Amino acid sequence: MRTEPILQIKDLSVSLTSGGNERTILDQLSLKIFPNEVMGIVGESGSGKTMTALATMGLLPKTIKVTGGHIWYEGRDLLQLSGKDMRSVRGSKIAMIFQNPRMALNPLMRVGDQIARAVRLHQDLPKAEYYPMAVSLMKQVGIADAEGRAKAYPHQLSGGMAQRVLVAIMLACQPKVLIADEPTTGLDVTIQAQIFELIKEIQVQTGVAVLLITHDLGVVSEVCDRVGVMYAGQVMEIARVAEIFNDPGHPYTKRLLKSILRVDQISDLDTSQALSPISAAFDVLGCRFASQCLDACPECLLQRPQIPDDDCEHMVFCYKYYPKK
Amino acid sequence: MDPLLKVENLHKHFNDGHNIVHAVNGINLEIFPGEAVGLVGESGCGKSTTARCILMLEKPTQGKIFFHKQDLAELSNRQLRGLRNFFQIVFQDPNESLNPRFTVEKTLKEPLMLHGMNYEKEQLKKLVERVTLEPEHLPRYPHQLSGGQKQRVGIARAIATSPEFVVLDEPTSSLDMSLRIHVLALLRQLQKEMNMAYLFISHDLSTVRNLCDRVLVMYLGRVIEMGTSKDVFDNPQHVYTRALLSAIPIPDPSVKRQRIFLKGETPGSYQISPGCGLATRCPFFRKECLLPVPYIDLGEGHKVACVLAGTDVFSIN
Repeated sequence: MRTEPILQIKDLSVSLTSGGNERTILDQLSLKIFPNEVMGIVGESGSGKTMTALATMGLLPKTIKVTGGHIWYEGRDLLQLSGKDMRSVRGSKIAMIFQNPRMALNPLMRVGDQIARAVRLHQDLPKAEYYPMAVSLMKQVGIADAEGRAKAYPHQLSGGMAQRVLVAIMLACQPKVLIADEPTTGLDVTIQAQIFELIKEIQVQTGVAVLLITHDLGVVSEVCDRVGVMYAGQVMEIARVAEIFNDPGHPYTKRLLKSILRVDQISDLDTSQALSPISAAFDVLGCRFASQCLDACPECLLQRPQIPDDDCEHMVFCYKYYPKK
Repeated sequence: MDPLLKVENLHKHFNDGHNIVHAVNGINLEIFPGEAVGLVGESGCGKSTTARCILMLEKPTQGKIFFHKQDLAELSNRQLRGLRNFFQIVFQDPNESLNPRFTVEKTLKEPLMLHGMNYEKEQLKKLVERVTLEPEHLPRYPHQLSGGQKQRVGIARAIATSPEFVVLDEPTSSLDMSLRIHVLALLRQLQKEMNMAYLFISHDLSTVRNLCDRVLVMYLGRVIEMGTSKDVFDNPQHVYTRALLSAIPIPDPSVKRQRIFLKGETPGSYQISPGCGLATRCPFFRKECLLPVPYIDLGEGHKVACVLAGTDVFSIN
């Protein structure tokens, strides 16, 4: 391909052990993220999208263990880093914004001070400039009356405003990669549109690579350049956004696209093709979608296809549609 | 035909100690038998409060609610309870609305018993099958069910007494795309088979588009546009409706969007102006917008509270 990926997840496997049972939550996940792009991960709940983000940030809960794979960043495998080294990567090189922004902010500190703190930790400025820089970042993320708002506490801000504050903190850190995990859940649709505009603007200004996790295919269509489709901890398909919509390869992707409801069209609400909940799929070998798949062959239940050409633009992890160029 | 439900000049204000929150400011609506009506708007617009007032879960500050011409405020609590077999609700979060100590069977038996209806096993089996669940789900507890299954139990409970009218408050927001389709297909079918009328409250316009015959758009406690789904979604005339629709991401890269941006955020409802609530944010604001805005009737029930409705100020594409 053209450039080198800035972040490369390779064969990542992660499992949860509870009550003597081990459940593989992520199964040999491989993904590349390039600079200057918005890479989406789309999937239903239980698909493992958030786990992927947490694994990348080294923020997996204690009950969840990495059982294999690598996450390459700047020549180092993040999974092998010590806690101390990972702390210097987290935030300053790879930053993350979450759902529920108000919960991510310190409730006891004014937001201006929180941003100023990020400036102090990540930028090389004299002390007197921390706070003015914080206010300037608030203006950059489109917060009206930045000076006034800087004195507010998180609970005094709306959801949209709080998310902008998080983006300002992220900007203070000047990361190379931004992971945004469903950053607009619970926010009104008009505010959602503003937040995505903001993220795209920042990408244009700073060249940051964005990994955007969402369940909303509309968001994928309008905000992302490329997208990976996940199901039950496995990647089913990776392609440029136009390809995924116009020429989907994987049976799961096709079924997912059929279940979309659009505001500009009436659907016939065909439930014959509708998907079943994910939970049962975790305990199988091979492709986790096979049990629901109309195109499944015996091989599917035993092993997933290996795609030799790692640099292929459109990758479909399926024996029937393999490989697509 | 008489409307099943008539809401007249509904106002609801809350006093939060310091300020008055003007949640609902003059809503008028009618729902006819067998109709699916959507009530949409973003957070803070007053749609849930409107629903709660209609169900008499809140006492209106002003205005009247009529069900079959009966003024609900005149009924005692006991009489209101008696109405519940005509008039039901499905809540947003099944985790909060299903009793965790009741099996599905008990949850469904309760309304039937309370209204003196048949609650035999056979009847319950038929009921769960209606919502595409299995008889084997009857002995289960809520924690043994998935989100989608719980939501379907909530719907089964609401339709158990074959009500004429069901209020659904964001019943699909917490569900995955694939489950949403199941629930909507079910609701559409029930509407046809049982001639059920719905008031479907949601911020998810794609869902409302696919279920409702008519829709009312709310902003700051007022209905700013109403009409058939087709008219409101295909030919929105209020700036707010246009902005709202233009902000919804469409899962189709070939569709070119023309976004209408509203400045800033929705103001708090502590003070309401007599004029249009959108005045402070509207890119097309003019002086007339500060005065009370009448509904402009565009025909076929399409009414818009905007001075620019029906004009060529916005050319569609």
